Amino acid sequence: MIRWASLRRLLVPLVFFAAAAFALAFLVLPLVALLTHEPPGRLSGQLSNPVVTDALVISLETSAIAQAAVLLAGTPLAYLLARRFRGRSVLVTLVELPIVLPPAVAGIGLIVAFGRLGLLGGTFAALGIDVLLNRAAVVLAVAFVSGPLYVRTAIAAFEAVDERLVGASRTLGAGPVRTFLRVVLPLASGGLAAGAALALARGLGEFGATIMFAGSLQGVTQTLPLAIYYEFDANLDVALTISALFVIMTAAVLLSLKLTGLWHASRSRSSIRSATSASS
Amino acid sequence: MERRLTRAQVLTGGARASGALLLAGTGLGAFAASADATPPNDALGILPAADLAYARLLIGWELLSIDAYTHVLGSGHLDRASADVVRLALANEQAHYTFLAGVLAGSGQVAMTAADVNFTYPKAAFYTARSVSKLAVTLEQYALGTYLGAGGAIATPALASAIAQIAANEAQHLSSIAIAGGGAAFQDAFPATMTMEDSSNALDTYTS
Amino acid sequence: MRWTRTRRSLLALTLATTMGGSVGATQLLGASSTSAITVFAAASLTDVFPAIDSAPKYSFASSNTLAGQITLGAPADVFASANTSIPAALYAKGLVEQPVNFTRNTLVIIVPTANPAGIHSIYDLTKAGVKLDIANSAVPVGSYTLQILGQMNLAKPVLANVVSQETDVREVLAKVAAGQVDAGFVYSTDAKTVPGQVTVINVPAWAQPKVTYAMAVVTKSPNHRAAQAFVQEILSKAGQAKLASYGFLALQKPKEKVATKPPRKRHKKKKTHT
Repeated sequence: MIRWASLRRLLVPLVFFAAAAFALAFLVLPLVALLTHEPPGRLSGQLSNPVVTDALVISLETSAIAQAAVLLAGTPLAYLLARRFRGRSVLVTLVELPIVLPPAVAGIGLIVAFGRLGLLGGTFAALGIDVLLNRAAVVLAVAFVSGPLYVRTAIAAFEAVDERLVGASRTLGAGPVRTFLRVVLPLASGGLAAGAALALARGLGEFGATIMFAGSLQGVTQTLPLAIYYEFDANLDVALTISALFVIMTAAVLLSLKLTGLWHASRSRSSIRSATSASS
Repeated sequence: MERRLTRAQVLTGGARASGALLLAGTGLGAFAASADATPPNDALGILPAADLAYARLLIGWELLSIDAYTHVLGSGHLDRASADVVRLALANEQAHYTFLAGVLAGSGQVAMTAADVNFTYPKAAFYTARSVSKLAVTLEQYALGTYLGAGGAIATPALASAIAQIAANEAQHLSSIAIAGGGAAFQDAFPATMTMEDSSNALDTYTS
Repeated sequence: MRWTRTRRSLLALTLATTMGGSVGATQLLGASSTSAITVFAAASLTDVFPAIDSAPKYSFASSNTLAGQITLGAPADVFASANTSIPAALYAKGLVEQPVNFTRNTLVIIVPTANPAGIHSIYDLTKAGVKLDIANSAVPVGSYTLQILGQMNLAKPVLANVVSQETDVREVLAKVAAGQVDAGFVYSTDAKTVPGQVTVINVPAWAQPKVTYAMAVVTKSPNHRAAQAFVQEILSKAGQAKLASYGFLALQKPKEKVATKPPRKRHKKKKTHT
């Protein structure tokens, strides 16, 4: 007779681990295939292809500028949204909306907002600001889709900062700016770094909004994802090279920022412990 | 008021120009001469893109002239003598087209044919003898202007000299038709040249 | 109810028969019904093909993208391209059967209705600062554009004004209609789909390339009969008439008649004396 009880005890963890292994394999297999489909020598030969180098330069440049803008403008916004006030939830929802919008919708939105015939089109033209199918347009598209990711994570990071520590700092005579820079930021740095990593990786991979709003021209606006799309029909080798490059790049970004964030977090946690023990 | 173009009118150009008789005679003589003269060599090899672009534009004009003259002959507004003249002009245009098509073929390209394009004319263009004459004068003026412009722009000497020959022929057509329409045989010391852009825009008005 | 062996085998038999029967029925029905086929067609055919036959499943994209997908084994039954060279290349590789021409088209320049750059002819595209949008050279309309510019010797100055290269013709249309660019090259049939949003400027007839569309049945198609039926539908009189109504050109252009006499009523013939 089969002992159902003992079978169930064995089966449940087995199924659990099988499901987990399946999920892991599903996520990892395409990445492994990308890196192993062609011999690495053939792929590295394509690295000198001007399509690849142009796309790399444009992607890095526009992502860096967009990231800087997101950090500079997003951090104050997240800090403000971390407080409690009327209408906060509405504002937070609005800010988070681009995360769930399909990139094509983001693209159309950018066109009707900042395009030549858009809401601000006339104003931009009058002020001499040119965001029509150039690198500035790429930066706008990348910032629009990646910014909310950073802001959302940053809000959570700022919310996690202990209000008492902020209060203690103010009591000890530090001004609001000094408190923010020397107390709040270091305490939130782990979350901020995680948000920044997410935003950077997302921005590097942006396709839909970029192709709609900024167009695609090699050497001007063709980022790495756009180049993959174009080269897919023309030369599969180049597309594979860029894809492999992408996997390595984003993995490095995510990993390094995560490690830096962890290091910062551990540092600030230890300094908090010493600070709180001293004050109490 | 409709009137038929008579032989006398074509040959003498009416009462106005007395010297027109001499010119018309020369014009006819020139027609006779070109019927015997050897066409220029069209095997010019691979030509630069600018020259080929002009050749294509000129082919467009030649096809238009051929189409227009064919309709003129079929309109029934010409008497026999003037019809003979127009028939000769039509033969000239066909020779021009053949030469230009050969030039393109020599560069490995295919020339446009009559089947590839539809020409449209102003509404009453073929209704009367007068309107027919007016249309022919306009087309010949455009063609002449285009050839003169081409002559100044084409880089290949062999092609440029052939273009000059064709330009002279078109000028002969223009004079004869102008006379027949009651106008002067010639006027300007330097007939107008057209830029490629203006010529292309003018040709556009006759294509659907 | 206890799952006895008899009941279980009966259930299995019923399921097998039903599935087998429905598959067989679909095959029988699908033999000549176009509802069972998938048609991969050029983006410019997006509106007209479903208007001719709404039954098949359609996938519209640039002809070169579709050809790439077919090469990688995509399940298409019919392939319709905006040129003859792409189907010919697939035929040479044995991926499709003999292609057949089914319609023609012309290229035009479109500008937004506001026409901010003041473009009135193809020569205006050489002006400095004009933002021009074209399809990339692998796309048929893109290669036709390059052909036109080469034939007019305008390639260098005009291509310097290109700000974006799209992956299919409808993207060019969308960018011009949205006012993002000053001008774009599309087919005359595409311009007709957005009346009032764009203004059409003709490409000179003497520089028009020969734009011929060709279609072919995919060799690996499991529905050859239905695929052939679809091809015949497009080539039929009704299909050709529908194409004409959307602005496509007939394979053989009929010559337009030119009136050499005014209409009967006002016609006066006077004999003149010589």
